[in-house]
Amino acid sequence: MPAELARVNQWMYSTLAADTAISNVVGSRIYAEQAPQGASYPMVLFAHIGNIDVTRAMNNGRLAKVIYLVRVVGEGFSVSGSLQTVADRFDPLLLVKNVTVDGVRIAYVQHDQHHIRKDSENGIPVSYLGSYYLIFCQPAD
Amino acid sequence: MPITLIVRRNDIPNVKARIADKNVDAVRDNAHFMRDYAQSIAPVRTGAFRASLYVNFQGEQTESDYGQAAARALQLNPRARIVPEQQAALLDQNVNRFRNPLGQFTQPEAVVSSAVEYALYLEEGTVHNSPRPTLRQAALATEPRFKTDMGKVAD
Repeated sequence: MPAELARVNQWMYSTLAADTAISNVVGSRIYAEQAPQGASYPMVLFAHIGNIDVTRAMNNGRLAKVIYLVRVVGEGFSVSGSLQTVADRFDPLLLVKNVTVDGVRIAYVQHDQHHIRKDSENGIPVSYLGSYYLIFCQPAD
Repeated sequence: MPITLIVRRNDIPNVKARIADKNVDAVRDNAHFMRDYAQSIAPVRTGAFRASLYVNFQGEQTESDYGQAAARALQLNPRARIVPEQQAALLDQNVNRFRNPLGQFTQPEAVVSSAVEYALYLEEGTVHNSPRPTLRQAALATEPRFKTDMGKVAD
């Protein structure tokens, strides 16, 4: 049985990194879970937030519901302009059906909830803009 | 052939009341299950976050352990910033229906939340700290149980 979450991470990274509208703004600064020390803004962060098997079929069959938080992070308190341009790309790129990645089938993806947050990191104002997504995945046949 | 139906007893109001009671019980019980689940998976350093998890439910009387949770959290981590309690929908006794904070009619609800401000940073992470989610994972674990309980309210 493949480790689904690793493949979802792989799909998420490659999908976001291949988009020119995103790379025009963040370059290669797309990170899973957290950014390395010293990384500059803006950047895209995506993170696994939780998961549960929603279907347990005969034998080893299953369908997992996985929550991801995907967001663009930039300096300052404004989420308009380039941050908005990047966040606008998340839905068109991530709301897919029937994508297979290295033995794992992403059956479908649903938008769950918008996300916006403003706080500070070492005294620097930082804004987050993105969404929570529900990713339904299972081992491919 | 004509059929005559005579209703000698109308149990529909009682059935409706029983369903409403079971509905309220299911919401309350699952909120407590979710809080307990969250406590079982909460990341622990000082223990303040785990202690800060509370349930707010407002049926015929308010049921909340926010006060105890906030006090315990502060005891375990005196530097923790305490945030105000989140209120669930309130039962309007005049019409026997729940109203949300905007005054709109709504279904029975319960709030499971944390009394410490840094719960947000644990749940969602920050630029340099991975999320360590607790409440969403607890909600996911509670969802199938809640659906099963709600499927039985009319039994």
